[in-house]
Amino acid sequence: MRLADAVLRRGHLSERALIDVWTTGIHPAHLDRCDQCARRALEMSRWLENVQATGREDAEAVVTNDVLVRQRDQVMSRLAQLDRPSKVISFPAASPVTRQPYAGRRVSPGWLAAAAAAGLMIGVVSMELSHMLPFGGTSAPPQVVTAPAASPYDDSDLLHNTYVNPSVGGLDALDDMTPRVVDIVLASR
Amino acid sequence: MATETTRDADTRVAIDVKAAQAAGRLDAARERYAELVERHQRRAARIAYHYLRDSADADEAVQDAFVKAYTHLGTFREELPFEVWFTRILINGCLDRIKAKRRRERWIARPTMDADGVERDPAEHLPALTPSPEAQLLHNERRRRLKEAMVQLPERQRLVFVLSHFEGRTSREVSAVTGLNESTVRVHLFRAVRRLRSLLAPGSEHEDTGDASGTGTTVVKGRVRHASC
Repeated sequence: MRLADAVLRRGHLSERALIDVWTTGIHPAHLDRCDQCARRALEMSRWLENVQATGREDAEAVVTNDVLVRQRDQVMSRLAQLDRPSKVISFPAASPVTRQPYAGRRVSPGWLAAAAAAGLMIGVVSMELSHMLPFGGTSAPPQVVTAPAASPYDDSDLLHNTYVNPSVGGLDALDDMTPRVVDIVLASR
Repeated sequence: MATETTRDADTRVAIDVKAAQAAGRLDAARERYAELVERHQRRAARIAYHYLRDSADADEAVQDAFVKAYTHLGTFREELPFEVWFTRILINGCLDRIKAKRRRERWIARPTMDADGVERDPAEHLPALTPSPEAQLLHNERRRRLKEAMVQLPERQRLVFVLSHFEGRTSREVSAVTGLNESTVRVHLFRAVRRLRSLLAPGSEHEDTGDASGTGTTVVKGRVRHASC
């Protein structure tokens, strides 16, 4: 008998002791003397037996012979797959590695700068030439009013002429090229 | 646990399979190993089902355990019964499945529940063993309640209870499989019984709202110790 049972329960068996009776099969002498504990032990063993039977039935209902046969077949087929030497897929025959020469040529940065400068010069010249050429269509050629000849470096004369003889003739060509809102509206109607 | 004769037979077969594997006679190895599968399959399936509470999961766990045991048979030590070694592999696999299921359930909605919010499994739709509808109803109700109560046990308690109570193993045998002390095994068994009695007591069904997903409410603390694989 456990000390705790002897002291706390006045010799009666604890629940744990009753479970031990069922699981170990060891029969304490107290059960022969005490009807109360014998009744509790019987009740406990019935409960445990019921639970065991219910649990086993539950499992047996799922683990049927058919299930086991199918499961065994699957296990064996998985093992056969494991034992089968794995198939190595050969890669296509390796073609000799040939380094393709780079088709383009490297252009030195100096040449790039020269080409950019040349392009700029061509642009300026063509712009100048386009001013000299007559405009096509019906519009009148631009009236270019040149200021009196003066030293290009004489800023004071330039300013003076600008204020004394205001002229925007040089902008007429640009004005002609700019579409007017009125024209656009009329055209859209 | 296995009788001495069965244990010797298991060990002999395991040694034969190892030798055949080493010699490259794989067909012979598989043929020999099939004996072990046949001998331990039913018990393994029952343990896995009691532990996982799902027939499909249990089926996969058993298959995986047999395959793993076959591939790791080289690590099997003859002084340990094959049954103990294999059961450790099986239980560790079940634990992994429970953990994986929990991880999935964090993100994925639960499977179909019935009106009571209880997940049903195919086992409950199997043909009746009892003739009377009332008896069948009571029987199914008992099974359902036991199943729900089982999933509310902590992992260790459930494991010890399954091995001790459903598989009829002694504390020493359970100790060998789980790596727990014999006294710890007895404590877990006692606590499991006490908790189950409380959960299965009349009128207690709606007081304890446990996790009915089949995964339990406790955290898996670790794998079975001393497992070779």
